[in-house]
Amino acid sequence: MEWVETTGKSVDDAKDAALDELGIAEDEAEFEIVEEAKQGLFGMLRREARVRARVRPTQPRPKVERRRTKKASGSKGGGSKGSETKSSKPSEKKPAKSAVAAGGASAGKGSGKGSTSKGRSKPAKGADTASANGDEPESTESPTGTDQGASSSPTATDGGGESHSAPGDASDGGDADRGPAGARAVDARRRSGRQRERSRSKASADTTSSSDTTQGATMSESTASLEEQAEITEEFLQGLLDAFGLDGEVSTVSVDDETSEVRIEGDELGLLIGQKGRTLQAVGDLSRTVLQRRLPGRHEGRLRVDVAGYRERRREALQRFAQDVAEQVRSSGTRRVLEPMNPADRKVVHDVLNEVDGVTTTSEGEEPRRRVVVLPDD
Amino acid sequence: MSDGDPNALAAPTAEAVLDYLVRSIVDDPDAVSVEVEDGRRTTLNVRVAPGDMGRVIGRSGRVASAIRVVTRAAAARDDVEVDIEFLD
Repeated sequence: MEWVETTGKSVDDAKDAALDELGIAEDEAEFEIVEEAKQGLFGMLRREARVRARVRPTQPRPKVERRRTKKASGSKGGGSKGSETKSSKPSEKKPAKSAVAAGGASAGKGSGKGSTSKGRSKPAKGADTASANGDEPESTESPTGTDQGASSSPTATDGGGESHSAPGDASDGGDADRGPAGARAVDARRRSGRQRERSRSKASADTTSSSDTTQGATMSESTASLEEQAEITEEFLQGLLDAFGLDGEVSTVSVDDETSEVRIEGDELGLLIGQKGRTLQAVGDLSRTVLQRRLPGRHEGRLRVDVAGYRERRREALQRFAQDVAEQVRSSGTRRVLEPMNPADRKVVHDVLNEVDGVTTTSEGEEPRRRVVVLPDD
Repeated sequence: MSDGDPNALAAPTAEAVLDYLVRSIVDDPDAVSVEVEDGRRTTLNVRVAPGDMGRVIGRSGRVASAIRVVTRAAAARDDVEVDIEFLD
């Protein structure tokens, strides 16, 4: 998994930037704080906060009760990131902070300026240390740790059940008194939705009961499978197509063991892709938000959204481009600095050119303007 | 505030998409309403339950900006440009 490193005025800003880079939701990410921001005089920033982040490996961590507790108590969605580094013990900031510092320090050492390859292998260790420091000592040292887990389960279950049932019921009830546009969307939904309706209620029944039984039991059981996630995402996207008044087929393809892709196929779907894939990106973000709402807790693997094969085309275009550049660099003997790219795109370029003789690649610059450099051998 | 005639919706697709997106995200979909306000630009005013405002905005406005991007794409089908305001 690729780590990205970002900076910001505060740790939160830097984390936001990292999530943007990775294009994932906050609870899919794993963070390390490399440097906290330093304030200078008069609130001027002396040093930006620096964090590293990556897509969290799929192995679950015992964070679910905390998040559910929060949700049940009605706090805003904003809190969940804090849980990554600080919330193991909200009442006491110090131990959490030192855990962060420990993780940050060990990672910081490994990742001295710009040496990506080194930085990449080391932080994994840093993360382990951080989580060990962050979770384990606290649960043993604080009696509230176990307490919290136990007491949260009844409320958490309620909260979960509610959020499953609410969207379904209410959208039907509320649609009635809306204008023609709303009615149209509903009709469309009904038209195409009978079968999905059934599978949705089944899905929510399943997840509700599973969260009933697994609260406080092993975490792996409360992790939503890729199939469950795909089902909800498909349904959301189908509804979106209907609201757009577009025709399209929604299906899910398994990419590898831990990745599935929900695809919308059809004509005239360019609207859902947008310039440079911006709309697609937004649709993906919203799918994740909906998923989080409907299936609180941990999610197994990764689920991507694609429209009309855009991602694959983008990758192919990038591959061709990289090969052209490699050819130029090899014949001219001069290095070439590419446009800034997001980490996923850079990885494609690195991977492709790794296979090409006569050139090597490296990256330079800071996110979000980090770019690939293609160098001739010798 | 609005003189929007329900029979002459300025941006029916954008409105339907916005309504759908917001309802998919909130805890209280019954409290969601979208109102079209015609001005120099068409404005879609979204109201949600106060407790749902945070969800709709998201951290650092992430969810809100994604909703805006997708709703504006929908507005292209209506041949209009829209602004989206979230009110509680």
